[in-house]
Amino acid sequence: MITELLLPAKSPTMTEGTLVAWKIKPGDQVAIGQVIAEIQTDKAVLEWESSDAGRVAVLLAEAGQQLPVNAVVGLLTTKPGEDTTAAVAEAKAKNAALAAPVAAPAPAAAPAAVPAPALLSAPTAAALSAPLPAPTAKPGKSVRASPVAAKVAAALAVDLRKVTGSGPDGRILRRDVEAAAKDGSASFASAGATAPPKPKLKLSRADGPAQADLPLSPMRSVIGKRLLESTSTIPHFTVSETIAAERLADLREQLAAADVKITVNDLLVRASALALRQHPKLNAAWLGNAIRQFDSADISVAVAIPDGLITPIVARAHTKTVRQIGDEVRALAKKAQEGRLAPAEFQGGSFTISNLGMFGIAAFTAIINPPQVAILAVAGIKDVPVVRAGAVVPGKQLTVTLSADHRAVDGADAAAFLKTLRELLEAPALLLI
Amino acid sequence: MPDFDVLVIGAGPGGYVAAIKAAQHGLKAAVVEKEALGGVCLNWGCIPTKALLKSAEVLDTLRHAKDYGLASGGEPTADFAAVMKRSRDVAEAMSKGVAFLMKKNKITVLSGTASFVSADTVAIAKSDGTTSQVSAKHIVIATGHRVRSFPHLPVDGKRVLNYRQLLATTTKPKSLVAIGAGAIGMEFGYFLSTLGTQVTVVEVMDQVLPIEDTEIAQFVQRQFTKAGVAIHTSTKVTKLDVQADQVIVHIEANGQSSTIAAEQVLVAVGFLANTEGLGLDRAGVKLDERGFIAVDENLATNIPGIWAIGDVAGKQLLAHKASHEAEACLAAITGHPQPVDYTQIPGCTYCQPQVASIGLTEKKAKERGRPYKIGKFQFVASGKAKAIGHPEGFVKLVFDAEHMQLIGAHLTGYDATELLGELALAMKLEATATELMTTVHAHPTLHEAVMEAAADALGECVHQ
Repeated sequence: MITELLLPAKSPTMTEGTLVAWKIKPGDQVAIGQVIAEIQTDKAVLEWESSDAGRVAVLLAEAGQQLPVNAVVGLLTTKPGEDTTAAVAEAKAKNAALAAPVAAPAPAAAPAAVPAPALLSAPTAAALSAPLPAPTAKPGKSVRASPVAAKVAAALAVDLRKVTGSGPDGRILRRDVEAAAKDGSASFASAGATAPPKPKLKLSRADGPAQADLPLSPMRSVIGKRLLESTSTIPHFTVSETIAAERLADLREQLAAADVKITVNDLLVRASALALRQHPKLNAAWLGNAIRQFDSADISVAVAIPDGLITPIVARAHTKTVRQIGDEVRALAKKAQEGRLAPAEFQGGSFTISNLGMFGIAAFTAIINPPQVAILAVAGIKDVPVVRAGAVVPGKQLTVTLSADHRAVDGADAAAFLKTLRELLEAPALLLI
Repeated sequence: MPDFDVLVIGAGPGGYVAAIKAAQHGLKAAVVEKEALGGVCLNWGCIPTKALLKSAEVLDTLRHAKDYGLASGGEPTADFAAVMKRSRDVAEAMSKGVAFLMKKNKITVLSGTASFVSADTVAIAKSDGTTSQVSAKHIVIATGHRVRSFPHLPVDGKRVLNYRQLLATTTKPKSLVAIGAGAIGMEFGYFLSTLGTQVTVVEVMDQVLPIEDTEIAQFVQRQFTKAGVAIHTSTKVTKLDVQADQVIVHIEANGQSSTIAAEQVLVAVGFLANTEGLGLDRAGVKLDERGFIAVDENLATNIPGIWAIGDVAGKQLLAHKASHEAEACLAAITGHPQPVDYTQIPGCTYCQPQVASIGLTEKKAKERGRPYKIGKFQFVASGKAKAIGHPEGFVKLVFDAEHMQLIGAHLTGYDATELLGELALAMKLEATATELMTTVHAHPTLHEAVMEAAADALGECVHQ
């Protein structure tokens, strides 16, 4: 029997997805529940578990390809040597029908139409002897290269992350590095050890192309849509507060000296959670015809990831210790970096913190993440002169800026919240009890 | 609809592995064999000769019992017929093992002699005179080699023997001349010499084991000479004068002619592809200029659906090369080609001292015209080698000087063949001297010599 593998909808709104990587290859035996591929939806990379069993006869899509939901991406057979020629042709026809509306979604004037998903041409009777594309070493993942390939790469200034390996399971061999060096496809930006070091400040892009049109990833499109919606429909107002941060910095140093890894951000999540419990107007969602106030402080923490940003949630943050919060944030951030957050881990927070302190920013404002009604923008701790007892002395300050939805929150509410937050952060021992 | 997905002709180490690999891929497989399952390797080559060599080695050890502080009660003797019988018993047991593997993998075994009727159909002539025809989507030719006959070396099976005839004898010759100092000549030379035959080895090339590294070959030659084997290199056999009770071997070296008299002669040179009677012309399969079946790196012949592996496809006539080609061939048939890298086929000779090698010899490394580096370690400096009473031999590694990539490994000494696996893996994984040196090798083992040789190449050897 021949079973089609159909690209599943991993969320109610998903209409298309990107096949990130296959976990199976032709000839493999697949069991029900086995992870057969990774799929990128609009927000995350999810594992696709097979709901069928059988032997993989043919794969009809390549890693990296964007596909409509229900596209036939492969065929499973239950009998060895089953002829899949007819099924492949049928799958091709189905895919063409699915691709048509996706290929022409935009008005004719759209500057860069999304290319139609180009499904691999269907293998014919010769499928058995067609070679498979060699797996590619993905940037960001650990690079598998032979010892001598690594040495040759160092000598020839070849970036192993960009080299396609031809060895077993995509392992990079010497010949792959030499080929890459020859065609220049995998060189580092600066060539070789003798080249001058890369300037820290890049003043011009004279060396690069004049411009480049980068296709939108599903994540970028969603970010664009949601933030435009937020700024164009929500009456934002912002309130800033400067917090004396000597004690905060001191506490962090004390903890660091004891080898406890707590960041200012962890303390901020805890402080915000406690402050939100006192000011429930900010711990809310704008529903259009009602304002829903939450009991639990479920704090979304903005995390930068290679393709954009995502906001994993520290749920019930007011019930957790700083240490628990820190452990959780780091675990979530790691999952976010790997694209492995489950939808429940990033959907449905009640308040957001965006922290750019690690860049030493003076102050900034953030855009509300609807339906939430407020977001806190956290800058870096700065060494500043402060006036204490009539004298100018060295001090440390941290600026936070709250953006709030004026439909749900008034200026006095925002100010009161920030006052509580300041009091907690200026007496950080309170955060540890 | 063809009868089989894959039909393999010949059940040697190439053919039976091809059939099993086909079955593992879910293909319907059959194998045709006219003699015993296992081919030359199991029945007349690798395995029975290893049994003989073990007998010789044990005898040699008994003779040196005193060196180990043991008394053996007089001079040990060999029962030649019993030694030969043990060898046949081992071969038969292994052949039965292959029969079991065929059954386990549900492979149809067709007894008889195969010949092509067309590109996808083969006729099988059985011993009872009947003939049947089978067809298959893919046909893999794995018929092996046979001994080549030369007009001036007339093999008669009594005075002048090939290796197969020698394996079937039950009486030990008093004296023997082995023509050819390749693996066969050297292994039989060692075996018979140890059992008391006066052995002479004649080789036309300028060293014994002509494909091995010169330094290794010279060492083995010295050990053989010490053990009482006469060796003539750069020497041609011009004529055999076969008499009633002896053979007069006429040889010529540097323009000088002379003769050697011996009870028997072993012809250990010259091999041909087993293509005769296969009907390759009816299938349209082309041969190369040496008469072997011409194949590409995926073992495909010029006819789609017909493949050839092992000795019949030329290059090195080695069992493990045949088995490896079987895997590569099935990988290509099932759509995941893994071309064979012929620069990484190991080679072993099982006389004592044993010889094992893979990759480039020093001479070949020099001919490339790129800088190379040699690392060496003598077993005499190995605690383990001393403790087991075999301090003879050495490890010689060849590295490309630029990145110290391992490009050749040559070992000689006691059980040296068992040390080669690590080096074959190192070559496959493209390891450099650093990885070989920094891998922790258990102490005391003979393997430590490999680590020390790599360290020597880097100028960091500890024990010499």
